Amino acid sequence: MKLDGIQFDQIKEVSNVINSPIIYIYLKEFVHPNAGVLINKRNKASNAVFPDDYYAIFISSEKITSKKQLVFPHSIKLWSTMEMANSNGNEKNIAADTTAMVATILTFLGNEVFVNNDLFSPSSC
Amino acid sequence: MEDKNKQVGSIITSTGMKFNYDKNKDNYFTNEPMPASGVVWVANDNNFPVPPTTLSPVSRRIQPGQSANPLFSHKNQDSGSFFSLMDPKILKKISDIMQQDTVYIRANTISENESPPAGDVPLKVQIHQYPHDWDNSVLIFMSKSYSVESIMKANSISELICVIITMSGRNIVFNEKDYHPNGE
Repeated sequence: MKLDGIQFDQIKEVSNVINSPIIYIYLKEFVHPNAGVLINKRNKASNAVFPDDYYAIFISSEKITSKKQLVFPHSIKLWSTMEMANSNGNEKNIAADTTAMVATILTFLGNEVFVNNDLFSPSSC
Repeated sequence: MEDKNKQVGSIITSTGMKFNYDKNKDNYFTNEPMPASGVVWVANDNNFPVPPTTLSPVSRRIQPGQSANPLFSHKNQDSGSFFSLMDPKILKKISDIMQQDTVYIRANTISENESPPAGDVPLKVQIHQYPHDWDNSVLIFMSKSYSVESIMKANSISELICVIITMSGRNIVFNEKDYHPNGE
């Protein structure tokens, strides 16, 4: 995988984070790049548009102190609703529930897990 | 891996609730009061056919269509929840599943022409400890609608869970060889 000129093996990096004793999980809300754009222009009758926001889950083996650190190598984007969001539905509950699931699974895999729960607090992180 | 057989001592959920493991009862418990608000993972959609015994006190207080957290209104047809993380029995099941070398994942979908079994949903993803042990599984995703969007969500969440568990050194068996969508 190549991002912004930085090459990294995503699987290897995810593996490194998951194998670290402490894992930090961050759920963040972003503005959707296609917000308001019709999803299927051939079917305008449906009025389906991309949502305003999308949600992404990041993991890191270190505590993230700034939103600017939500990029490799500080953290890795593990999952987001953008790739699957071709609906105009609100995905925040799926994102929150998925974060909880990931945190729970990682906890039971033997990691110490910290979850950033300030999704809707713009002042934090 | 060393910690695979280690019994987890406690778990703190993202709502801040702490569950401790009771060796004598071989189960998780909490002495903390249920939060009045927080991220809700429980089956607060009362239309979902969860037996009353698996509903947590929080979910019992919630009226249909109402969320414990006003930020989260589970009105759509999908949920990425474990049902329910507030339930110590579910936590114990997850703990048991994650202590094995192999984790079984079943993505259960039916065709548009079929109807789900009575009381069941058309699309769900479950994890379980033993082959064919679907009755003893933990639900990680369910949808009451059979749509491309729901299937994409199920795929996405399944992949995520598979990656995490695989990276921990465990094996994944996704939809066993003789798996049947209707669970026969």
